[in-house]
Amino acid sequence: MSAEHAGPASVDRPEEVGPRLVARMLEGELSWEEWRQLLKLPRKDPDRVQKYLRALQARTGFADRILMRISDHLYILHTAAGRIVTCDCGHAFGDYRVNWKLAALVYVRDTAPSITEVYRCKDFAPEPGWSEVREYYCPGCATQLCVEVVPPGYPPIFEFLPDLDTFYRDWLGEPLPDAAPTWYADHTARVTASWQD
Amino acid sequence: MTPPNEAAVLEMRTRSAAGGAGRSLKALLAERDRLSTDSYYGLTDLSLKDADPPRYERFYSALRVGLFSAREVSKFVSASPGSREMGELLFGLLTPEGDPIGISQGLAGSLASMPIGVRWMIENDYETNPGIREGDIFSGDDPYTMGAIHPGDCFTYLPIFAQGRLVAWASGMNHIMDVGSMIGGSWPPFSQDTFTDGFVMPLTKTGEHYEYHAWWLQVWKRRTRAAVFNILDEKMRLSGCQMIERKVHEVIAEFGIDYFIAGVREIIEDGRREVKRNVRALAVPGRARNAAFRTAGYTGVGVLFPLADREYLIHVPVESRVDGAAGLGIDTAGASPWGFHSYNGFPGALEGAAYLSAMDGYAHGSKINHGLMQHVRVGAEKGSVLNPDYEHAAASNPWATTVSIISCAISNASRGFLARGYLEECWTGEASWDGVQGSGILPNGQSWGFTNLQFVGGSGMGAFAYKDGLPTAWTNWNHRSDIGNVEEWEYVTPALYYIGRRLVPEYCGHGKFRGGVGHSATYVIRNPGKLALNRGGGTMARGTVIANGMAGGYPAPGVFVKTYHETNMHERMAAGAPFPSSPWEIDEFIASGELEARRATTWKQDTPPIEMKDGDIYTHASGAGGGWGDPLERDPARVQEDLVRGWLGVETAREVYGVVFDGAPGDETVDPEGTAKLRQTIRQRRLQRGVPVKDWWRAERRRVQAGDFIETVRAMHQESMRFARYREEFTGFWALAPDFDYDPEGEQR
Repeated sequence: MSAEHAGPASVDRPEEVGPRLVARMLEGELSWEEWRQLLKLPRKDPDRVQKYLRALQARTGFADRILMRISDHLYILHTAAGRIVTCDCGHAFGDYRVNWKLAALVYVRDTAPSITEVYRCKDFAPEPGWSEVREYYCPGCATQLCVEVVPPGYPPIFEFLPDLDTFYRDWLGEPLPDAAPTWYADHTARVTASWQD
Repeated sequence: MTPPNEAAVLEMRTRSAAGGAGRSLKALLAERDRLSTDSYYGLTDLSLKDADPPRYERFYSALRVGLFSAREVSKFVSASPGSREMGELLFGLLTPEGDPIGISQGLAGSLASMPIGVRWMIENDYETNPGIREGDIFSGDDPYTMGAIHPGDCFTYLPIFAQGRLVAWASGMNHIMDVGSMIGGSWPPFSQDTFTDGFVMPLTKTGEHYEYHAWWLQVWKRRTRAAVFNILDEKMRLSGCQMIERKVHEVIAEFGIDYFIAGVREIIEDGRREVKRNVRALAVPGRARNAAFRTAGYTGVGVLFPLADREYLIHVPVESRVDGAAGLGIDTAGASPWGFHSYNGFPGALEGAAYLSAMDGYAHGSKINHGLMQHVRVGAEKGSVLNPDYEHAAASNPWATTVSIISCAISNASRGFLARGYLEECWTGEASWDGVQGSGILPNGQSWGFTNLQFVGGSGMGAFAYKDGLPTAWTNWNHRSDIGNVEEWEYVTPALYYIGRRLVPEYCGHGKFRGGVGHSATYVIRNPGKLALNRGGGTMARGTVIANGMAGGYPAPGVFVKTYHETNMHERMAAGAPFPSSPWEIDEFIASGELEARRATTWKQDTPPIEMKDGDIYTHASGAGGGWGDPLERDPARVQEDLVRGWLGVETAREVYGVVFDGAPGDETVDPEGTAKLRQTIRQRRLQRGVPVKDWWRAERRRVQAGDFIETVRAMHQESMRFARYREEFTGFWALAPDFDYDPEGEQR
């Protein structure tokens, strides 16, 4: 009997991590015992990313190909307009080489009353002036995509810039059709430069 | 393919690398450096492993068992709860050149320190003077010369000889109770330079024939406040090293010296290859970033230390970079420059933290040893807070800075795990720490100093991508730790009596999965004689532990300390009246008039030494974990569980999680319809109050140009821009001139 039909608590070998298990993982349906077994695998299933991307593609319903998931709700899609960060609600944030936060909504908690709405006790609440709480929301679905607590003036942290072509070409052996050296670069400052009054 | 013949392999290996026979350690080290640019010692294959895998694994296991046994047995020589109860120690077996072959469980990050110490002895010609002979003991704790993370970490080295030549080193380290610094304890929070860090010793020959020199033990007695503990810790480390030596002799007797010399190099190369394989299997090429900030409030110390008289906001950005060949780099380029404060660290501190993050991320299934260190490239710019270009810079508490680096690098690694679909490995890795410490004179005239290490023994775990972080469950710098029994601490800290250890409500990073709830400890002071308390520890509550939560979760809050003076606690306890056991209960008791306190202090940055008298109360909290995911996506049933446990209030449930409860206080049940409606309302509120980042940027840029920040924040930006990485990021993001400067005429330090 394959692991896919054996119910929970049966993941002892990498080959037992099947598509159904990955789909259930995305739905948050795995038991702690199953998570533990995934953690304890002697080797990871090397084709997890392919199974994962197929499951994500089905789950999100995107017409465009998902190249990579970069956060709970954010994906880099391969679209006619390029490699675009997109929320699973469909809202497009733009070129993945630009920090997606630039296309988000931001709410800044920089006063004691607003900070203590979240960090409820003044004894451990970050202090205004020293820190501000920046909440980044998706303009499409209002999901809170990131929170950063940084000193005022600190550039938003560009969390993750994958080198997609190296990954697909050299690690997966499946080069992307539009592969080019220029895809692995940080273009954030180009965008902010264009914002000057 | 026919497996290689072991005898042939050994003949080849011992011919090409004689393992020190007849050669100086300097020559051996030079050869090791020349050959170890890619693989360890230039090994192209694992011939011993391939020839007879069970024999090879048995060889490694025998050595590792020796290390584990050394730790588990020798710690009972110690009298300190830090070692005996909490396991704040580590043993390592090193090659003659100092490269770790294997380590015990315990303070695993200190494997980074061990080769620095041996290299320093070799390069400074210890082989000639004072000489390195069988039975010699070398001790020290100097961050600059031997890579100790802080002087509170003391190391002992024992050279291991076989058949007349040095074949390995045993090394033991532990965190001691008092380091003899200007401020009592082992992590002095205020120190201008190394001369106020305490008892800082480069590696010194402290004994011969397996026995310490009498003068060395006298030094512990005279130069620290915890002589009994520190001397027994020395003996513990030597005991463990001798156990390792004995095990090495047994292994050589069974396997032969040639197998030993060739085998340990293969073990290291094996470890390197496994880490590389894991990076390739789990990561994504590219870069991930996070950052941490730490305050250091030194304003007012100028009466004695004018160079240090200012506030610092120490900036530690952490970039993890994976290249196409599965190389992993972790660096802190753009960090603040070093300063006249306790929180600088020399490279051993940074490397220890970075390697810990790599152990959690990429070393499973691996033989943890120098191979990991060789594969993971760790960097800090010269002159920065993690690589001072001033050899006498203070380095008494860099762990306060570097623990955040572990968390940043773990969250960076989780970006790759999530991209590859290995959700089971994804977590925020977030935790802070604290340690009450101090010094004084007991009523019987005894001088004493101490460090209570409990909060470095258990922190709230950061949230995972699929479950909450556990409270008080873990520390990523000691995978076998716990917080120690109250009674153990009480009998070595005679003036401090625990009146409570409690998990702290609301003290976590909220999220779809919340971080582990942090905990507090509260003490009433009894018959202290003369006593001053202070704290060593990680990020204080002015900021968060690391800057960035994961996937919409909130970062964890930092540490706080509170003191209450001239209270009526003793009277209440004598009368059998209820008394508080936590910071919030103390405030409630004071508000209700039941507890009296003529004076109270709250600290969200490091405390100076605070005099504590009979009946005073000291309380502190630490170890909150960061959250993962949008709190509005949290299962309301989990919110209710937290409410029932007392970890969350109804206001937070409503405002942060959007969960509405029915029922009287204490008997609440989730109102599903009300919850759905409120969550929709909160989402609408987000769309209304959130502004496009472009608009925020335009307004904020004017503020940035004007430097309209508190002085400490402006100084943080200004000073970090001395390094190209932050200058490029700051001026690039804000579209400023490349040479933008807040204080172009200012001094460089």
